[in-house]
Amino acid sequence: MTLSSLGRFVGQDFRRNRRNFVFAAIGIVVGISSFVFFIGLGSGIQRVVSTEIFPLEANRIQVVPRMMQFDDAAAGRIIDSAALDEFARIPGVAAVYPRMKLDVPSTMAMVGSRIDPEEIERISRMPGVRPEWLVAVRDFNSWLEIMADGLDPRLVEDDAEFGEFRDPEPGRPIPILLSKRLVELYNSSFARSRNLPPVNDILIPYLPALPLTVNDSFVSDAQVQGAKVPLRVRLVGTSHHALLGGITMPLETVRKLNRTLRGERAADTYDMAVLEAESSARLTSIQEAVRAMGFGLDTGQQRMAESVGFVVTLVTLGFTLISLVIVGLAAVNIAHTFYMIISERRREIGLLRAVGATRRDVRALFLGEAVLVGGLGGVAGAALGAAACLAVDWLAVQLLPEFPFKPDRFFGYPWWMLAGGVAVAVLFCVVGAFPPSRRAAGLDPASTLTGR
Amino acid sequence: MSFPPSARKTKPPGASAGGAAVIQLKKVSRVYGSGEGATHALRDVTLDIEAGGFIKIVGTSGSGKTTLLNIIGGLDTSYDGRAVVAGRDLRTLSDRALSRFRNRAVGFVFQHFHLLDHLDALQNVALASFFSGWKEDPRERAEEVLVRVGLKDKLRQLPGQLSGGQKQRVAIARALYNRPALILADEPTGNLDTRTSGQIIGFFELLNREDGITVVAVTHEEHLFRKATRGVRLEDGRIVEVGKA
Repeated sequence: MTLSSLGRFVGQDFRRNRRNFVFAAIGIVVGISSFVFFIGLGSGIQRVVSTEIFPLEANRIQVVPRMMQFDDAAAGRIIDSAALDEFARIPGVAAVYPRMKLDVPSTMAMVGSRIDPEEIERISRMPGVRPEWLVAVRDFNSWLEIMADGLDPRLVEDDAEFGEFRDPEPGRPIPILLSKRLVELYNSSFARSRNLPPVNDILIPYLPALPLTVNDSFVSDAQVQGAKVPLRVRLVGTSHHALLGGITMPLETVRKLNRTLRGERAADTYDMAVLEAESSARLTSIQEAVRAMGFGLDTGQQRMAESVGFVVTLVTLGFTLISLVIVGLAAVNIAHTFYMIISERRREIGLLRAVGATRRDVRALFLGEAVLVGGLGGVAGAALGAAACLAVDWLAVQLLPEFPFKPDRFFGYPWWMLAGGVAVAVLFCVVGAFPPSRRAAGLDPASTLTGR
Repeated sequence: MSFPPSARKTKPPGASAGGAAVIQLKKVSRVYGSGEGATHALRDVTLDIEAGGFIKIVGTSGSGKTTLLNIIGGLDTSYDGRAVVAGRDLRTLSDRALSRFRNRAVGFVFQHFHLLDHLDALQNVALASFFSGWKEDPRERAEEVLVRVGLKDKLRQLPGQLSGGQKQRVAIARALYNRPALILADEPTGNLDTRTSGQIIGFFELLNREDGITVVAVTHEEHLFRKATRGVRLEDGRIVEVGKA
């Protein structure tokens, strides 16, 4: 039997038995819709974890100086220019991005009343700016002691969206980056509770330069030696690579400050280097080489991301299994329906055999009907599940209060989720219909035609 | 039925009357069940049927007529002995080859018509086309044979809209669809009135005479098949008479 003949025959039979099949497919629709719903939710949460909360970079590792240990003779090397050169020579390393801590404390005095009124006026004309924010900004007073570090601009070139991230000309504001996580925490909790404007893509370009005093401390003067260095900083973007509890400047700016305030050695000592591999497959050998050179690896974020990701995967898997159990029960119902249909159509099967159908043809007819039931049930289930995802997504975004890392979308919509839903439905229907189709194919045509 | 004495005396039961045998059965036996409950439907049946013949098989209920027909048509292969039909030793054929044999070489006509209620006359007749893989337009051929059996104006009628005689003519058209050399009819007039039965039998005679199709018909109503070229009588699964009808 050709495929087109099979298709025509299956179509005719489906129309004839559509009521039976619709009832049989209800379980498939319910199971697949919940399958799609839970996969979508798991995928969405996984996306938030891996891109917003603990962003992972598959081809990068973070190298840190290893703490001195008594049983480790190779330990204790600092990261300096020589070490950076060694990292660059490791086979498979594509790039080395050093990171340097600003070796002196800094303070920032943010006093709203000192902000140029013209700046305030300019911000007030921005769309979406609330008047109460401007009042809060004018009344804002905050004196912070903050940490700072310097980062290779190449690592964050995509993150500096609102200005160049490089060592500025003398007298110009220093471009800084803030941690995305820090900004998220500020926006979703501190800013909301104090009625302050959020730090977002709309406002960042209009934020005024803020004063920063390097080599200054509110806490202790012990680390402060020499004159204070008054500077201005301007926010040019947010980055996952930026310091979580401070500000990140261009590497060269920090190097110059360290050289001026702490000497040449401080200007050539890095607290971390990000190594980028040519491919993720090379990471293991690079890690081994780094350890052999006497350095350590900072895998804390990766471990955290993996742990959270594992929990999300586990919960998603649990719900997906429940969905599959529903689909499995539906497959049993499909099997029952097919047994019933085959019992009703014994003579018809005999007739088909009499006019030339092989056993394989008979089996193909019933499996073809199962594919059609599974396909239609799967499409309906996937559509229902996707609709539920969209509806719950919209409701969650609208109704849930703001919280840190609240995503724009709670659900993921990978293409394979819908295709997988339909494929699972077809698979389970075929599995359910297989035993009945075997029985149908094995019927003796002579006895079915004579009713024996 | 009255068989010529010469046929019974000069030839053993079942031997060919002459010409190329399209059906050759040698010591065919069929037993249903096993042990003490076994039923011997056929016992050592030997029969040759020549091409172009019109054979009627008669006998009482349970004498093995339908079993014999099922074996000849390749619907039943659980027999002992040898059955060669249209040059094929049926029991040695694979399921695929046997199905192809049923599709191309044989046309079946049943007492209860066995039409599919959800298909119209054209679709019922073209049923074999699903399994033949022919390039020929199935609707065209189906229409051709339906016109031949006198149902030109019933092409789109469902079986429920047809009389018994019309249903049986649709069934005959279905049997003719793939131009078989052999038609096997199992009590084709069993559900019809006398007048309609006469028309159906007349049609079988026409197919046999004009198209040279070998017709083997099982019947209780042997008096209706007056023009059969041979008759075979079965009793308790044995051939007890073979001869000119």
